[in-house]
Amino acid sequence: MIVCQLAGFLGSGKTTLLIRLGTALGRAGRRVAIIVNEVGEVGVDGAVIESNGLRSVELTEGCICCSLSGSLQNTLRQVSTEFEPDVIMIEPTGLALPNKIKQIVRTSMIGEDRTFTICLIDAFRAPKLFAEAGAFLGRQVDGADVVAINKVDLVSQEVRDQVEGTVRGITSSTPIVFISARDGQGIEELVGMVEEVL
Amino acid sequence: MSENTKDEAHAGSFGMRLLFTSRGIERGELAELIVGAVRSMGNSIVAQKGMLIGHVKAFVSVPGGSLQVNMVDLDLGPEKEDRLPEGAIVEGEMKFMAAVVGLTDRELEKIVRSNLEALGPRLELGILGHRHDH
Repeated sequence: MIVCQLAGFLGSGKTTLLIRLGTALGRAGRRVAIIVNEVGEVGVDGAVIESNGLRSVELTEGCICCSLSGSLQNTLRQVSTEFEPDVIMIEPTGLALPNKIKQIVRTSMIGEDRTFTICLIDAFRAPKLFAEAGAFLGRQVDGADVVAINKVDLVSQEVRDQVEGTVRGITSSTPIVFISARDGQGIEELVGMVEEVL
Repeated sequence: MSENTKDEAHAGSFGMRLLFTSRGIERGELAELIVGAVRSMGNSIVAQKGMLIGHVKAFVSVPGGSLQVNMVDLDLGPEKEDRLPEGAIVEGEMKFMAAVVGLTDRELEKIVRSNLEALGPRLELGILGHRHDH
């Protein structure tokens, strides 16, 4: 069993990608459990995931990387025992830090074989986001096993290259994939990466 | 964990869950109202902060369908996933959520609440809950 974390800033496309990955892994016969947490707490993401035919556990009233770390650990234990999944997918808030969640997973004692973190970067808004919240985004990228530059259907090759350069300025070795969670571009490659660590 | 990443990112958030009833509103008009509310929330955020670094989203569930609206950028505008049923809609539940860098929870609450007033003439609204949680 692995824990797959979909990290990324507010509005980077985490829920859309989660639905894509969850559906693809489910079709491939994998048992997928989903834990979702969002900053606003009124549960929009959980409702969206369920409206796409997937079931999720929604954690509210805090962020799982800080104030709700205990709830995340309890939920991980419950889900891994009761559901026996091949993959537990976690969608944290857009303000969570992947390294903190990795640490929480590690100390929850659920016997996972690996934690795999995908960090999404919104290609369309990347210049603005890095200008306004660059240090924070850098900390999100820092905890990733793969960086998925999302919304490539909305940008030119030039912008795509610029965003890749920005990410390479943070990490020189983390694999980068280019995707559009909306139209499905690049998703197969990402599913393959998750399958590889399973 | 002592570090609070919401504070660290200087972000605010606010969400509301409401029930609505109507004498019968068509799918297209309901979608237009919700998209308009999300757009106007985004406009208000930009008017106050100068930019939208975050997102505004809404989810409406009615018997037999749903509507999802999400906005992260004013130029792109709201994106919607419309699965509302055909025919007159008389009741449902809606959720609005905004999370933005550079505004406080209270500032976002004012923005969300004031822009929901535009729904009043066509929908009867009842608030089920609201939160500022991280």
